[in-house]
Amino acid sequence: MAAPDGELSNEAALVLGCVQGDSQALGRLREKCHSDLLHILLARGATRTEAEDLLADLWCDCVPGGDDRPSLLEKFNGKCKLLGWLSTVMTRRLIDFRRRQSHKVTPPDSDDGQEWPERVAAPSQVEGEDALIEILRRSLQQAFDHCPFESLLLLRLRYMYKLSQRELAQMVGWHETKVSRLLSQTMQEIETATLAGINQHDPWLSMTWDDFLDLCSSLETEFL
Amino acid sequence: MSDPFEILASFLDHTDREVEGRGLETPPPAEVLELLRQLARGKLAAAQKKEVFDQLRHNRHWIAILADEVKALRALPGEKT
Repeated sequence: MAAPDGELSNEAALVLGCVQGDSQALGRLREKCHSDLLHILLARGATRTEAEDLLADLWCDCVPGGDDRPSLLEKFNGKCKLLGWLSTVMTRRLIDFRRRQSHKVTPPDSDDGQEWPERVAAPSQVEGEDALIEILRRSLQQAFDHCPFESLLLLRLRYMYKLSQRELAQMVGWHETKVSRLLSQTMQEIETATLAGINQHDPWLSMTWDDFLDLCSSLETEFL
Repeated sequence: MSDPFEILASFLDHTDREVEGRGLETPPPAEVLELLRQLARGKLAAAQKKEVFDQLRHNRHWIAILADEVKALRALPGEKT
């Protein structure tokens, strides 16, 4: 989601200070974002302990530790609001944390002579890094797959190619109100099916439609 | 702020592994191009529309051509948008 220019330049200055190790900037950043991020994590399904632990790690990672450990904020490209970017980072970490927890297993009593660590396949690095993208992509793709192609085509022509509803109506030979109704109805179906998909695959992950859009928008800036 | 559908479609387009080979996109054959032009003008019967939609479903990059055909009509006298 785009932020106003003034806000971005203030955030850019704050981030620059943090990246350079300015303790006052780091303190201001924490003061500015900690409470919002805590609420976001709790709203997305973290326990209070998980949220506080993840935030403690986050603030540590924002402090530069020399060439071999630059500040996490060096990855912020300034194309979205800082809070939106941080909340995406935290959601990613929350998902990774929960995935790691689900991979943890208790070593069994065994006398086959095999060392325990050799038995357990670690989750792949790619799987961990892309977990958030994969959750969003899978649920959204499933929702799109359930929509008639004609509806998706009209949505794409309307919003990606900026054709008017009148032009669409003329093209398919419908009344404009029918086109308008179909566009709204299809968007509603996409929203409902997407959130249901997330709930089905990751029932602990709580997300509103605005959260979903914010995450997609924030991740989109990483592709630019 | 972008429209919600624009956010969603852009996100899917960028994360869709199936469309990574975009360099291999081929232009539509002449008969399909003609059907796209007719569709843009609202002159296709239901059966032909279905045929074009099937073509577009399997060749998503042709949707841009359809959009361009509709936009080209804006410049023609007597066409209102």
